[in-house]
Amino acid sequence: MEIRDSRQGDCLIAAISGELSVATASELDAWLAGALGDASRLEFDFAHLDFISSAGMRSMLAAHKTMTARGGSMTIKNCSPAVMEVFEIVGFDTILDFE
Amino acid sequence: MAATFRARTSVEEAEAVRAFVRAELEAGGMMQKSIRQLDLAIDELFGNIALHSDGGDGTAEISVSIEDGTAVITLTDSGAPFDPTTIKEPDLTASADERPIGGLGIFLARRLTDRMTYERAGEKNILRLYKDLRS
Repeated sequence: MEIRDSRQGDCLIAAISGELSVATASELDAWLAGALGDASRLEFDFAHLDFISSAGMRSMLAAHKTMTARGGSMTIKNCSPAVMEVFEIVGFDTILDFE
Repeated sequence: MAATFRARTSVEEAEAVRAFVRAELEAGGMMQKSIRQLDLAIDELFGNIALHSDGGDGTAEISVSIEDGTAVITLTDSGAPFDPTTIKEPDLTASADERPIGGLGIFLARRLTDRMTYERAGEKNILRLYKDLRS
């Protein structure tokens, strides 16, 4: 997994490539805890994410809860059909924001 | 004939375990979509063993065989007894606030396989996943 991030005003954008798996999701959690700062919007770009398992979805749900708790928002963009299918199976397509 | 892989019960081993399973399924002629689904199921179930299996000798054995057009993946570990086939399904209609963080992996693995069976044999957990090669 690789994370490329940029900041636009109050929005933190994180482009994740590779895999969000049981082996890598905790790296994302740790990175996010340090990088989020006072951002009120969080955007994940999944254009180059090839694989996600429940460990990665846990990270997404935790990030969503963090953003909601501070009155902010989180959006996931550019999911491949294979990655989107996993969100759909567990019903996350209706509780997280996708573009 | 089953091909077998031994791994330490550590999440760092998950990628090697998955690569082994994918290669065996490909050699067995399984469709790419089904391989992808089983790859995900293995990340969940081996990950579960690596994260939660207490005690035991710290190793797990993963074997893949093709029997009558069905892929059978067997995960064996010597941790505390744990039967994932009896875990209650999560409430998929709950809102984000009500969703617990976790509990989805076993559900996913069940959805992505045709059948999962569990057996406790002596000091070992034996979990078998079945999926039709052509499904």
